[in-house]
Amino acid sequence: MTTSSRRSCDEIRMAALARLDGEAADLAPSEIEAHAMGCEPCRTELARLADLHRDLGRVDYEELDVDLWRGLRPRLAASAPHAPARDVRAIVALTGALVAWRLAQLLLDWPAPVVNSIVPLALVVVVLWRLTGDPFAIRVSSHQLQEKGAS
Amino acid sequence: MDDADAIRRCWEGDTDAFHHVVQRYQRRALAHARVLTGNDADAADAAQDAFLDAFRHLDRFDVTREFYPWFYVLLRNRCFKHRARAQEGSAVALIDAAAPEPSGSREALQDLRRALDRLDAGDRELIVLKHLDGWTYDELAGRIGIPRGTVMSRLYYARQRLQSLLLGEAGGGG
Repeated sequence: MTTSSRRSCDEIRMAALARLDGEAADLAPSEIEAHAMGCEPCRTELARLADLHRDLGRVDYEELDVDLWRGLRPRLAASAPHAPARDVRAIVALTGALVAWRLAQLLLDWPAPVVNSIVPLALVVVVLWRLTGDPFAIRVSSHQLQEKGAS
Repeated sequence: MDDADAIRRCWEGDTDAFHHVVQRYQRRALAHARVLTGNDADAADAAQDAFLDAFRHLDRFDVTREFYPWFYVLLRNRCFKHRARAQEGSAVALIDAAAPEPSGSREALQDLRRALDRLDAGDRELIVLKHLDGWTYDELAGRIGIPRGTVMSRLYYARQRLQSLLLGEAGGGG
């Protein structure tokens, strides 16, 4: 068998297997069948591969009964993930809002002086709130609480 | 709780929410890791490391997508590292040494498992993901990072090598 005909046989077998796998193949079914009719090695090989395909459908995993969480939990404690780009988004939004506010002041000569100070401050508070939760909350560590309890 | 809820809770600092993810996927991850590493101990280590990698990089995960395909890439990398370290340990990927004696068609199935275990890890991975997990060529291409045409040819040659091993098993009696 020449190299080119062997390559052709491989292409035929590959396409036939793709069809067995339920996938689209580059070759038409009629082309595969026509080749197989005239090629004894391909017929034999395709029959074997079809049997193998069927048998592989009967194999299943052996269960590996391991609880990964027990070993994983202590390692996770030092690796807390962050929400995706939440901080960056909030800061970009704040910058945009402050710039827009300043432009509105310059172009429209619009708000009263008190509002000029309050609105940017309010925007900063809202962003801080979003980033950290309540920015006015008094945070007490468990260590401090223990000390307080002891006293 | 679904995966997206659990992951959002992880983002907010609730480490224990990741338990849901581990519990849901560890069986599949361990099975895949065993195929890729070839032994139980490395499989467990690699799967645990991969879950840790996933947790550390949850900020890169898009909660609108499925978790496991994203995780599989991390798992695969970890398995390859463990396999490289283990320097070709004994392969017991799909067969339990304490399994009962096979008979009749079960014997043929046992031969098939033995042959799968003797395959190169790359071939074994493709065959297992295709036949045991039912991944399509496109899914394999996306998750392993090779073109669809390469999936098709590699699967073909992998099955040919498996066929040759099986013929050897049948001829040589395992």
